[in-house]
Amino acid sequence: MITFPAPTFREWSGPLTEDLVRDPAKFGLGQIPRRLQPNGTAKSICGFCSTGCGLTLHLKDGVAINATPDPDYPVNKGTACPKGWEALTPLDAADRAKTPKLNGEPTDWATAMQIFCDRMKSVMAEHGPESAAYISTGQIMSEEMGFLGALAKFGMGMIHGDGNTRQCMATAVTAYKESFGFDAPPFTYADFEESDVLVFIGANPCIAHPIMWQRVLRNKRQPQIIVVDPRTTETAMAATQHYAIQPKSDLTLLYGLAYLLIRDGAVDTTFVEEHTSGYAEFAEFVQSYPPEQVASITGLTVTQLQTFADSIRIGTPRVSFWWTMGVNQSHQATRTAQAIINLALMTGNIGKSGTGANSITGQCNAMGSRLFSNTTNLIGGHDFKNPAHREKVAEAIGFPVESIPDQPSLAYDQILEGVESGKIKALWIIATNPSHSWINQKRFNDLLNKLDFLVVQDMYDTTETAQRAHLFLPAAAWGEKEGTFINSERRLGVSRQVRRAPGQALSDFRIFRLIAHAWGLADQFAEWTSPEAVFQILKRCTQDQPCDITGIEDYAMLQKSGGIQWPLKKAHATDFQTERRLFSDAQFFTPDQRARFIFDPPESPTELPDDDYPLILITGRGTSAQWHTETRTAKSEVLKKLAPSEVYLEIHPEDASAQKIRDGDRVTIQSRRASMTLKARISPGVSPGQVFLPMHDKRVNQLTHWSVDPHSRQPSYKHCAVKVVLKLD
Amino acid sequence: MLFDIEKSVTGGTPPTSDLASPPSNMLDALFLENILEEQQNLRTPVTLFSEAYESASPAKRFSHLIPLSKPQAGEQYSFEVNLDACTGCKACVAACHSLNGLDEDESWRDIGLLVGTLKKPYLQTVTTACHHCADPACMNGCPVLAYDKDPVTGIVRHLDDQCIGCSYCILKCPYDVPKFNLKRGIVRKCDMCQGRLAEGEAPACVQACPNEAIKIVAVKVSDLPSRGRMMVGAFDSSYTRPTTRYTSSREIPTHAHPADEGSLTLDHAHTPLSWMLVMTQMGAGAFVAGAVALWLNVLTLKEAGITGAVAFFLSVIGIHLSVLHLGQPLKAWRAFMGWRKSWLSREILAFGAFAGAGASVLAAWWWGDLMLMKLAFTGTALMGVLAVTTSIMVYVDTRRPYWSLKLTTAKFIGSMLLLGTGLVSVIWSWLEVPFLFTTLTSTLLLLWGSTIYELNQNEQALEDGDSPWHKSARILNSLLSKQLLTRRYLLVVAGFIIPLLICGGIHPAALLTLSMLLMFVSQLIERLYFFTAAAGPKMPGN
Repeated sequence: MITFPAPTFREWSGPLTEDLVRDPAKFGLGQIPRRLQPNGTAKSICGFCSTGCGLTLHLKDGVAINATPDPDYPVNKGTACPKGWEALTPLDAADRAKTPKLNGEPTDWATAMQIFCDRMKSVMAEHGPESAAYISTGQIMSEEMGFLGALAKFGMGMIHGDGNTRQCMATAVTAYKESFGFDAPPFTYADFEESDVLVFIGANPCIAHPIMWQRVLRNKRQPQIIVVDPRTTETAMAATQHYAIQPKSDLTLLYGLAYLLIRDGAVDTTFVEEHTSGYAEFAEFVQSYPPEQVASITGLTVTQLQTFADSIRIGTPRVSFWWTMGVNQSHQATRTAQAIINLALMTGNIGKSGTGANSITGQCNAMGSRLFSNTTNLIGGHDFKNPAHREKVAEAIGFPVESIPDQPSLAYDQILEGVESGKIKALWIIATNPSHSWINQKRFNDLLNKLDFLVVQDMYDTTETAQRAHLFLPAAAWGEKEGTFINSERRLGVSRQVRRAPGQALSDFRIFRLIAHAWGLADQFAEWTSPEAVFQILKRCTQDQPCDITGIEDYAMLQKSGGIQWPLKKAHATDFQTERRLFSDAQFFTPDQRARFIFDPPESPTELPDDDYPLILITGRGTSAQWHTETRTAKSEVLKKLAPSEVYLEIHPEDASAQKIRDGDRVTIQSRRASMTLKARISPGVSPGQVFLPMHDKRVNQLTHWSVDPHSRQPSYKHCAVKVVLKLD
Repeated sequence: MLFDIEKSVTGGTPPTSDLASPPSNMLDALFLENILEEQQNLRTPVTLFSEAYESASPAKRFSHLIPLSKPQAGEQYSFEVNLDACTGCKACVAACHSLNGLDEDESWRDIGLLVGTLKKPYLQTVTTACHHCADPACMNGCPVLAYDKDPVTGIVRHLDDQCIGCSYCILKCPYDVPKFNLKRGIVRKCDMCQGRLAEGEAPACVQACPNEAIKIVAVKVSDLPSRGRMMVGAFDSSYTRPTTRYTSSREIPTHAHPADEGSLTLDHAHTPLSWMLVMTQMGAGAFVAGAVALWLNVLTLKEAGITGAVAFFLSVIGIHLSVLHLGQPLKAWRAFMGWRKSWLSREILAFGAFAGAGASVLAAWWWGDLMLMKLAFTGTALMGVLAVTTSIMVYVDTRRPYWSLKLTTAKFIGSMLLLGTGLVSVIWSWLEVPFLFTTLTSTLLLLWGSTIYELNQNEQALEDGDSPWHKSARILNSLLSKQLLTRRYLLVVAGFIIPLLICGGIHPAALLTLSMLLMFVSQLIERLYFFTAAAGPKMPGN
């Protein structure tokens, strides 16, 4: 844009200056550029991670033009990570899907629905109800998850469906269910501020959950921050104690800590006797984990172990334990999570301010999926196998009880094995991109080829998975639809429709409505007309469950209250705290109301390093600006600036020099499954014998090894054997 | 195949199942229409949930992170970053973008990472914006006074409507702060949200930090360090006296370094400037050679006139080419305004004088007086040398190691003499001036001397890890190796094969012209990588 000069020597203002002029805005927003002045705002919950930050959406004539963090929301208190600030940008991407596609060619919704119903019905008529399955997600609203689960299982008659939450949270679910009797993360974010000792195991909240880390830094008690992570992460740097253990030696470490806590008299015997079961067996079991042995396995010194255990002992009763993917994505993930729970139980660090064995969830609605996806659990945290539960849910949703299967789904990996063996012929994937994210990606993509019918429903038709679809259904995105999310601390919040979807894209909710009609289920789903109507149905399903939310009137109440944590029973509807934790009465959800000590001896990872593949590959989050397979975050130029412009392999100086690799050299990393070439970054932040890759590059999961935890069936992303050699041009 | 989902060849009706399944096409058209319409209907209850809540206005929420009053005399505002609280969320960058309404890929804050030594792990995110320097290099370099340092707050503000988009401030700033905005043809940069501060509201980045790592404080200007570095990987503070202060309770390890230290990237190639530099230097050199020849009385008036006209013509083209790199060329008339401090202003003035002097050569020719011609030529040659000297200073004044006084002088004066003697040799070969053989010999010697000197300097800097422009040498070696190789070939062709052919008696004038073109190309290649391999200093990157 070439502008004409003014007839003065200096131009202090003009069109280019005007472009950036800020005016005071209404709505408590402070100064906003003139051209972005809103004439209204709406409150919403961010659709990326499970922190569940509140956003203020700036509206011009009802359409969102900007987003800022909500200063009144109790979760984030006016801050957000870059993804939250950029929440609206991915909606404007050029590659948004605008029409359904059949074999890559645009088609209309009527045709798409007919194909969908014909194919699915054909497959199920030919091969039985187990031959079609769906893969749901932690990225859509609870009402949509509930609709999908009810439609697929109670309406269409599918047996199997699982979600991408299997990749992130299944371990926490299984561990809590077994230990507490219900999938019940007990904490509230205030616990970050109220602990004297915070133990982070396999978690890097500084970049993965920055707004939770904000709460840690607001802790005025000068806490000990202990980080257990093989890598020196941002969080490890910010910690007061960092234990860089050998990968997957966490279970041994936790048993070793239990040994020391028992030996040093740190056990809360009253609590253990009155509120737990299995302690005696556990105490006896951990006698096989003396510090010398644990030290040799974990790579720590006996002194370090003692310091760690002493910190827990001294910090009690305000010790909180936090874990994320480092624990959840392991070959022995469930027992590791339970070993953390055991430490909290034995020291009585539960149910009180600043305590807890706390799983930080991943996706914005992984917690919603845990309650309402109707996959592993029957809607509302119920059990498919329990006839009373089936009756209850059938009544709550007004469906015949016979429509409810009497068995839970196969897990994600088992569904995939079903596809591979030819038992499952049709697959419907919603809002997730497993062609990029599933472990041992090549095997995954090969098995997709065996499907007779692959339906992918997504906001972009360019994802690796969408490109493989026979039928593609264009979805409206976060911001183009409404519904509720549940965050890590069990807080339900409402997300709003503030944008028009591109082309013919429809919200997942509306797609499910279309399918229900096209399938011939219009009468059955007559009540399922809007997200808020379905919210009322879901509420009924939770009655008398630990996750009872019958006390939440409607969206307006959620909005007015700054979100509401479950449970909220009807009796407490008018009188509840904004931040609440579970188990303050030490009554757990097991039949005897006692928490259980659950343990098993550690096992080796399935693929250990050897002479051919001498290094361990760890994968994980790259930066705060990147999200999973980057289908959304890569659409924001600002977010792209916040990550290195190309992916690089972190390798320890010793391993690098053994291969004559210098900083910035191109190297080839090879596993038994694939290889990739990229630049090396030499860093002592990884230990010798280990290398690290951020998971966002689509090639990374070609390298990883398909193994799952036997209890949670969550894939073990963070451990496989590789070799690295200098790439000679 | 039962589930053939190939599209029906006949189009129209989609394939249907051949199995006995319930009728599936139950979707009625009206229902579908309603759903599609509903999707486009925004019913968010705006009024219900948009009450203004003044208690939470940014002015109140962040007042503890900005000074309560204007700076005292001798003070100015500055950013203070608590590194211990900066744990890598990078929200400040996104907030700067969103709250200031910047372009899609634009933010006035950047993020970098410091990593540890080979032995000790270390990670530190570094957030960085304009340092609102006490002695701003951008402002000192701006030829049109498009920068203003507020006398009270010390905020270095960019006047967007004054900017001509010459990008010299980008070259001058050692922290890579001003960024060229292609869409608008100007530079834009951080103004510390001065409008917000004036109303008692914190800047966007300050508001955004979850951990309150960024604050605005008033600092005593006399306390600002004039030595050392603000931060590992940052440029020497003596140059601009940056005001940002990074604080930490932990010491940054001595050998910590920016994570992107090993990454080699090409800087912006200022192609019009490369042409301008080479052409004007060639013209100035031709005037120098012509003046020498005139004083040795080996040129006739006409020969001198033609030589002067060609040199003048090429110089004027060169000078005008520089306008092509301006984003706002219509405002370029103000380019003299910065002459007190800006070498770019001085260069522009000097080239104006050079062109004016060149015109006097044409006048002398028209007048027909050899003595006048001698004086005009000499005057133009002197103005030419002066102009080339200002060109040298334009780059030396940026303090980029690769643009050191020694190397830049060698390159620019080298080009001037080499191409100047080369050009007159070509002209004189066509005019059959015998003095040609003296200039030709000098050209050959200069060609071999300057090219070998320059390539040798590169080699040395590549081997010497401590060389100030080691990084430039690495960029040349890895990203620009083809250019270096081409220059070697051109040296052999122009400096050996063609002279050999000429000695063999093949059409000397044509071959000399060809040789001159090849030399010109070689110098142009060098001048392009003069910019692209400059490895401009910046704050630590990702």
